[in-house]
Amino acid sequence: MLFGKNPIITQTKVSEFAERLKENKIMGTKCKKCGQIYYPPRWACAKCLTEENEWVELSGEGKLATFTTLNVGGTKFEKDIPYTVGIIELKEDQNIKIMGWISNNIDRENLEVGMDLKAVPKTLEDDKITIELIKV
Amino acid sequence: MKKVAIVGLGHSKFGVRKDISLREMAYESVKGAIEDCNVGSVDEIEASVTGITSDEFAQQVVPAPIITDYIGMVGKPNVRVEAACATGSAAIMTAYSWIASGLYDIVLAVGAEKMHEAGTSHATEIMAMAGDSQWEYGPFGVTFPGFYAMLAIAHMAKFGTTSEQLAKIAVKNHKHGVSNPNAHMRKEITVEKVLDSFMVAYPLHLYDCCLITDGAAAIIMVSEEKAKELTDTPIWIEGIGCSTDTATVMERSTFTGINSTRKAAQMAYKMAGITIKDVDVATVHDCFTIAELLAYEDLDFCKKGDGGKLIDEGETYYDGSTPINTDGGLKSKGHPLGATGISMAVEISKQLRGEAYNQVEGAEIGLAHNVGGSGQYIFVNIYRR
Repeated sequence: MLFGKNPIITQTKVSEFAERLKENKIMGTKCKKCGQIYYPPRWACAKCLTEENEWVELSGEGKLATFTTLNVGGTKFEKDIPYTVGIIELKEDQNIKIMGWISNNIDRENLEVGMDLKAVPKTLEDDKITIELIKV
Repeated sequence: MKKVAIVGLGHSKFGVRKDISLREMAYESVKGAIEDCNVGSVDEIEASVTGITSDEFAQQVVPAPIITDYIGMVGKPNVRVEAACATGSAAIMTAYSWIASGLYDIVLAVGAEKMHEAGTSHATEIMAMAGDSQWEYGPFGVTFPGFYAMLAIAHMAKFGTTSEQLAKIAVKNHKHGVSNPNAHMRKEITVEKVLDSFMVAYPLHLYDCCLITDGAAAIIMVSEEKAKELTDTPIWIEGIGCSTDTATVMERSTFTGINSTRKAAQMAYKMAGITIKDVDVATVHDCFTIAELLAYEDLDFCKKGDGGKLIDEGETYYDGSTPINTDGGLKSKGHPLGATGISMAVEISKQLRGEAYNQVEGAEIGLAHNVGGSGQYIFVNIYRR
C-alpha cells in the first residue's frame, strides 16, 4: 500500500502511514519527549532529534483553510485536470493541517474558506491510497 | 568583516532563446559584467560562484563546469549553489562571504537557466518537485502556481483582496517591462486582459503568472580596496538576510503571508542599520502577482492586509511613493530561476547608479527580495550607493 496518486518517494520509515489509512485511520506522530505532533508523520522529532515517537490518530475533522483548482498539471497529473485540492486545519489543533483532494460531491462554486470538512482515506487503484476532503 | 561592493553588471536578453545554449547565454552576461567596469579581463577575477537551479532544465548534471570553462576560468575556485528560485541570491551571498572574510578580493557571481526547451508540462513538473514531492506533489499534484493560488485564496478570504487588485500588479509590471530591452514580454496589458485570460490555478490567471524564460545575469563583486580601482560607482552590499520555511506548504503557520520573508527582512534591515522607510526602490519576487502583494506586506512596505490598497493607489509604479519592480519584475522581464537573484542585483545597482530604464530620481538605498520555492528559501539584500 502506497500513499498518494503518483507516489514519488516510497521508501520511508513512516510507510505504516499508508497501511493505517487502509484501516480508515489518519495518523500523525507524536514525540514522546516533547509532545510535538507531526502531520505529515515523521520518524524523528525535529525539535528533540529523537526517534522516540508514537503514532496518534487524528480526527480528520476541521475547517477549510485554503484550496485551489488546477487547470494545468505537471506531466504526472495531466490526465487529472481539472482537479481541486485543499488544506484543512484540525478542530483539535489548528496547527495540524491536512491536505486532500476536495471530494467530487462538493460543488466547486460552494467552496468557502472556513467551511467544515473531514479528511478521510480513499483507496485508489494499483494498491494506492490517498486522502479526500468530504462534507461533514 | 570587509565591505563588499558590486562593480560590474551584465545581463543577457531574457526570453525564449532558441539561438543559444546555456553556456553561451552565461558568457553574454559575464562579458557584459567585465566590460562594465575596469577589471580589464577575466584573468583578474579570482574565483566564481555559479547559480543554476535545475540539472533537468540544464540537461546537464553538474552544470557549472560548462560555464566556468567557457568563460575562461578553468583552474580557479568555483562552486555551484542552488536555492530554488532564489539560487542567484544564494550565489551573491556566497560571493559576499568569500570577500567579506578576506578569502578573495574579486569574485564573479553568474546565474543562468534555460527553461523553455522543457515545454510547459515538464517545466511545471520540474518546478512542482521543488516542493515536497513525498507529501505534496506526488500525492496531490499541487504545482507551483497551485501553492501560490492557495495563498491567494487565504488572503482574499481574510482581507478581501480581489482578482482586480492582483491584475493591477501584472499591469504595472508589464508597463515597467516595456522600457527594459532585456525583458521577455515587452507589452502593456490591461486588467480586463488579465481577468479574461486562462485560469491556470484558481484564482490565478495566466497573466498572474510569470513566464518560462531563458536568461543569464552576472555581477562582479569586490573588496573595498579593489572597488576604488575598478569603478567610480560602487554599489555596496549593506545587508543580507536569509531565512527558510517548512518543506511542505501545509505545515506553514500562516497562509496569508510568508514568514521567512519577514525573518530575512528583519535580518537585512538590522545588518544595514535601516528601516523599510529608508528604502527608495525595490525588486520583489513576483513569480505570481499574489507573491508581490504578499511581499509588500511581509517586507513592511504596508500593514498586513493592506497590499491591495497599495496597488490600488498606484504607489508601487516607478514614479510612485514606493517604486517596486521597475525593470518589469519576473512577470514581464521573465524568471530564469538561477539568474533571477542576480538580475535583481543588476536592476537595483542601475537604479542606485542613476542608469535605470525607469529611473527613480535620487535613489540611494535599494532592496532585493528573492523567494525560493514558495518560501522554503528567502533572501533579502540591501544595497546602497
